[in-house]
Amino acid sequence: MIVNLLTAALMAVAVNDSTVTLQSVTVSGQQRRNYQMRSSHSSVQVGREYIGHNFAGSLMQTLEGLPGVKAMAIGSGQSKPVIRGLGFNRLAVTEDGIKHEGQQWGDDHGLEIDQFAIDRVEVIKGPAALLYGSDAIGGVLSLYTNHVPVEPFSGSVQLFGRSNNEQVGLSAKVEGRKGNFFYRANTTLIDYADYRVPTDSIQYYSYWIKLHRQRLRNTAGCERDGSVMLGYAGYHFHTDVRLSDSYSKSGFFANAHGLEVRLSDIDYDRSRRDIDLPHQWVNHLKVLSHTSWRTGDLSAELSLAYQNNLREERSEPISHGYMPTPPDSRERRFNKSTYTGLLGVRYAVANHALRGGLSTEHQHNRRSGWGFIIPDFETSSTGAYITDRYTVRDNLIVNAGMRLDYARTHIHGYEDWFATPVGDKRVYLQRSADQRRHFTSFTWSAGVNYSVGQWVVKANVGKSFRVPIPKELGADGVNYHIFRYERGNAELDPEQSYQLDATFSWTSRPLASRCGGVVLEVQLEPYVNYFPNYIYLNPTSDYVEGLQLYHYTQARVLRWGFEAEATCHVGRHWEAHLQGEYLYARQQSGLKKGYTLPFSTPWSTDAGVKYLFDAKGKGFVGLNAHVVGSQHEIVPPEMPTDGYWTLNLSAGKDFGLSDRMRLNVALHADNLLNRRYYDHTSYYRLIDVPEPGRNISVKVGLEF
Amino acid sequence: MKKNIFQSLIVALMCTTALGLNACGSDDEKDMAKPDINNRGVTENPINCQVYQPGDTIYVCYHFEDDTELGNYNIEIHGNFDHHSHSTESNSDEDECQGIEPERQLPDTAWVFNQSYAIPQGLRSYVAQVKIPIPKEITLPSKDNPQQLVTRNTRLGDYHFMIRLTDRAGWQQLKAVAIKVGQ
Repeated sequence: MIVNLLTAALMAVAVNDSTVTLQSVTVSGQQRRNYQMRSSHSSVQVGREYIGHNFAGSLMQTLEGLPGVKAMAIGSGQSKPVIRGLGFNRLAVTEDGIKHEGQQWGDDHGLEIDQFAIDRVEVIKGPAALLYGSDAIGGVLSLYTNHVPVEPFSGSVQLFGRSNNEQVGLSAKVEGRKGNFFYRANTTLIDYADYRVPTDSIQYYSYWIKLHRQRLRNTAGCERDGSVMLGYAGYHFHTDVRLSDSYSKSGFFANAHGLEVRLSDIDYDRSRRDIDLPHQWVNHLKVLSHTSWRTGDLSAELSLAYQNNLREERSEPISHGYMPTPPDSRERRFNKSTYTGLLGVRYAVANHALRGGLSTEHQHNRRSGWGFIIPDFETSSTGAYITDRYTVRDNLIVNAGMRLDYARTHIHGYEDWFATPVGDKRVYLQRSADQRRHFTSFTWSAGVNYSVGQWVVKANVGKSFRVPIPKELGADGVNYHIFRYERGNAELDPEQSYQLDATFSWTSRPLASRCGGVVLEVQLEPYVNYFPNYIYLNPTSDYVEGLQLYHYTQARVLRWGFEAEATCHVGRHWEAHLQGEYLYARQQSGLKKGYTLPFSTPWSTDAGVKYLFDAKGKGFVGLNAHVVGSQHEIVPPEMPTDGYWTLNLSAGKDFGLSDRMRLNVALHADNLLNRRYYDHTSYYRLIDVPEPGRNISVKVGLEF
Repeated sequence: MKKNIFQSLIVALMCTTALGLNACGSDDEKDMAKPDINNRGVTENPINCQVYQPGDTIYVCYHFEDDTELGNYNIEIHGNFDHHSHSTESNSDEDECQGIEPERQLPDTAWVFNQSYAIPQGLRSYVAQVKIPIPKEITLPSKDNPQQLVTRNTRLGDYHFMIRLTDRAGWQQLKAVAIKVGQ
């Protein structure tokens, strides 16, 4: 019974997003401990309050403040998540428990989720294959938009802007509840101009590119999102359905994209807000349904989802090699539909919390356009898992689980639409062979949570996997995004990863009673990660069709690292924070034995101080120094990157206008000293584009 | 006490794993430098602003060098009628060797040359010597009937001559030179 109550209490903590909030004085040692005892994974949870206060222009940039989490800049001020150095298909992004399926392999493909609809984020830093199947190697970025409204009617309107690319945006939300029925609706509109960098010229693939007014030509864009959710929340029975659509269009940096880096008829410097060719647009439509039923010790949950990701990349038609000038600007189009079904059952008996489930997913991808990069494919996967969480004592919980997955991939053949002379014949070269592969993966995980005195210690060990994506299996052509010839490898095995991670967390008792008391919190999260067969795109010494050949191979890889943080609360008003992270990666076999992995995260440390006050509403002002080490651990074609430091300011204030209305203002100023630096983990590093200079983000929100 | 044992156990386990796995690979001998394209011991050719006529032969001569082992190289010649510029050119008098009116579209009679060459294995130093004849005419599919091939005079004007060189580790070096055909 006590266990059930405890579980219920923990569940309540999990659902209510405002209770466990990071870096806030409201976090008491007890709450912190409760959160830490919930799972043996290294994880961080942030609520709406943290996201609101720390608004840094985009969700990923806001989350970048968390130890171990990075936002990889991919252009246009957009970014992709990276957890402990792993990104792309090596981490799963989920929305309300369903894996988000876009074209996440792409170097310049963003999140495609309305970040202003997010109530709560949980970052799992480590393998989470048990619940999420393939891809959750580096971790999971879990986004939740399913907060059940408690008021009959409430809503908010937010206006926000960013100085660097003159971004302006509006997001509005209404939600309400009548009896057990509830609804929610969101909309977000964003518009931005060309991205600005503190340099007058850059070098790319030996081309010398002069910038007009320090702007990256044609990186302007816009985003339009909307969602509606309807639901019924009873005591035993809950069901909801959410329909969301996210559309975005953004230009590619005109001088570093496409077949040839050259001038064109387009006058890019005419306007900094227009989107010319080349550009991309993507529409992500999603229908999510959740139903759960609970009685006594048993609960069951069924999630069904349909996602359609439609993407087009357009650029000026230019003849290249033996390809004649194409008829239109449609270089690439991908139409991918994903169907997901998850069934989960929880059963609590004695001190055991058992959990089992089935998951199934089907993906269907069709391409068109004159530029080939990935073939058509269908992929189906099915998985089954079972876990047990055993509460030995109040302060000692152990868990273990296993999972079996089976996946089938059918990759279609593809031949060039134009003929290439070979000898005295003209042939349509095959770029992808028709192939069928199937994969079986067995994964497992075990962990322990232990708390004693002021300590909470967690450890987790697990195996996770990733099914090779069609690009890795079947690519055979020029990647014009980055001027190289990429060749897939049909022999690739599912990538496997073993990880051991631990969390040591210590919270002091109040140290001094003067000035309101001093509380110190310290946390260390080390990890070791080993891949027996990491899938690596190896730059070779060969040339194919005039470009350097990159070939997919598999190598043993060892990675280890840690994150550490210490927070000191002094009285009710002051808070000092210190955090740092380090990551080591080595390829231990194959042609690049001894080298690191691409985009290796350099060490970094953050020191910040924050003043919190309450004058008719909470407020804070914080100053933070971000110091990043140099990175000389590189692999071709990277360049070493110098270290740098930036000074950043953030502030927020809540104003109570009436008992129902609140106004909040958030301000974030990055790189106050306007320093010029390169980020080694940014995609733009490869093309010599420095990070943005001083940038100020402001958000004003009205809640009612 | 129990707590300490537990913690030590985890730390010890992580250290052993890290060290154990780490010991398998030595990483001191890896090649971290790009190969170099230079004129050491040779008279480099072609050089910036060099003028050729259709029917001439370009006698390519460059010296390649790498601290570990050279890979392969590729030579590409493409039209520079739009006057884009390469950072690896000797830029100073670049403007003087270009025509006056830049063109936005690449004409289909522009000469395109793209050829890859192997360097014998195990070399740190190599002199690339290649003869590239400049065609007087370009063969291309007819506009009316793409199955039919027609010949046209090679477009005269500004061209870029590019060398791409790799080493065995996959580092790549580029060199671009502005040349002229005709005029």
